[in-house]
Amino acid sequence: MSVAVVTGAAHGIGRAVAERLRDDGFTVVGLDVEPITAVGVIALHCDVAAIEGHEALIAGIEEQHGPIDALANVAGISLPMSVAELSIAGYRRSLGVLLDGPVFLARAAGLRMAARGAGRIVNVTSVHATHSEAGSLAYDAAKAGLEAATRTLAIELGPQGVLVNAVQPGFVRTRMSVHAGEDELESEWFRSIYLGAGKLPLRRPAEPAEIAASISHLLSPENTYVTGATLVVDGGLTVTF
Amino acid sequence: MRRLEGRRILVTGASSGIGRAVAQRCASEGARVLATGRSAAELERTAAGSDGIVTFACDLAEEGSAEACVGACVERLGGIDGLLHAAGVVRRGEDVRETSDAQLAAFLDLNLSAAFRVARETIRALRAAGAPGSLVLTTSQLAHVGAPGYASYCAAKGGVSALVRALAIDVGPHGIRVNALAPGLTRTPMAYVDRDDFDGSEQTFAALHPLRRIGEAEDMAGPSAFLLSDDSAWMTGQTLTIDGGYTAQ
Repeated sequence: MSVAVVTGAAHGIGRAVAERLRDDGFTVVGLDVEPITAVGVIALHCDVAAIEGHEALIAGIEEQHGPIDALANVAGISLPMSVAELSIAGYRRSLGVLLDGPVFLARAAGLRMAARGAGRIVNVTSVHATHSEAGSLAYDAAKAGLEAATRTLAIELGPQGVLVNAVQPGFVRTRMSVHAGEDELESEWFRSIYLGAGKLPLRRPAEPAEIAASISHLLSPENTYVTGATLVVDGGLTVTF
Repeated sequence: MRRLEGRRILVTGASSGIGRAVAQRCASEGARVLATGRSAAELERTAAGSDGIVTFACDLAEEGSAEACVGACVERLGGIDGLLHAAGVVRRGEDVRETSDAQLAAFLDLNLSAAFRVARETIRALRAAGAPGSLVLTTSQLAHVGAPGYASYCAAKGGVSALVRALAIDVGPHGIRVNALAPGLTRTPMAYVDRDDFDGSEQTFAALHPLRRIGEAEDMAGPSAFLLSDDSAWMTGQTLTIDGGYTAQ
C-alpha cells in the first residue's frame, strides 16, 4: 500500500487531507503538535518547525511503514502582528512552521523519493502568497517563500521523477478563520464584500474537504506532468479585483 | 476512478491529440461524451471501443457551429454538464510584418472567438436548465510566457485566459465554474505544424523540462477529468498549467 505523510493532521485542512488520502487508499501518517483523532490515521507528535529532527523522522517513518510516496505539507499557524508589533520571536515562529518545516520535510522525503525514482509532494500555501494583508507580514512572506521553494524543488527533483506542487487556498472554514474570538467568515465585512458585492464569485467559503480534493489529485497517479505549479483553489477570489 | 458517472460532457477538438485523450478518459470515468471535431473518420477512431462516446462532426470555423455542437449534446445526451474545449490551431515562425489582417482575423476567430462561442452556448444551455456545470477551455503555456514567432498564438491564448477569469465571475453565482487547461509542449499532430523536424528536436526539447520529457496527450487527461469533476468544486477562474515544470524555471 502507498504511504502518505500529512502535517497538521489534527484539524482543518490537514485533517481533511489525511482522511481523503486514507479513503484514496494510502496508509496515512499524520503529524501534529496536537492529538490526531481522524480514524485510521497513524498519529505522530511532531513540531514541523523542529527541522533538525526531520531527517530522522522521515527515516523512521519509512523504516516502520515503508517508502513514502506522497507528502502533504499542510501545518500552519496564524500570528497576526502589525509591522509595528512584529516581534522577532513571532516572526521566527511563523517562518519556522510555515516555511522552514515544509522545506526540510520536502527535502528529507523528496531526496528519498528521488533515489527511488518517483514521488509527489504538495505544499499548501495561501492566497497570501500573492495577495498580502495588513497584520500578516510573516504569513505573507512565508507563503510566498514556500511557493518559490516549491518551484526549486520541482526543478531539482523533476529529473528523478518527483513532482512538487503548491495548492493555494482562499477562505476555508477552519479554526484559522477565527481571530481574537471572531470568525471572519461570519463577519459583516465578509458578508458584504465577499458575498454581497461578489468579490468571491462562488459566494461562499470552502469546506476543508474541497481543498483536500485538489491535493488528492496532485498526489495521485493521475497527475503525471503537473510540477512546479501552484493550483489556486479559492472560489475565484483572486481573479476578481 | 468514476468521478464523472452520468455526466454529459461536450469535448471539442476530439478528432485527435488532447481532445481525443480527454474524451476517452471522461468516458472511462463514467461520463457520456459528445465528441466533436472536423474529421468524422477520426472521431470514429476516438469513439472506438467506448460505449460512452457519440460523435458529431463539425467545423467550429463555420457560422452556427457552436450552437450546433451544444445543441447536439443536449439533444443526443439529454443535456450538458461539462465542456472541455480543446479545438484550436497553431502558427509557428510568424513574422508579424507578414501577417495580414485577414490571416489575423481568421486565426483569432478559430482560437479565441470559437472558445467564446462554445462557452457562451454551454452557459446558455446550463442557465436555461438552471443547472450547475464545469467549463474547461484549453489555453497554453504561451498564454503566460512569450516565445519567438508565436505572436498571434500568444495573443489568442492570453485572450482565452482572460476570458476564463471574466466568465468565472459572471457565472460563479449560478454554480457554474470556468477554468483553463494550459498544456506545455505536447506530442500531438499540432506539435508538427510549421515544424516538420519535431521528432528530430524532441530530445533537445525534453532536456529543457524538469521532468526531462515532453508532454503526452494522456498527461492532460487526468487533470482535465479533475477540472470537470466535483473534486475541483472550489476552483474557478484559474489556469492549471501542465508543462512538466517548464514555466517554474
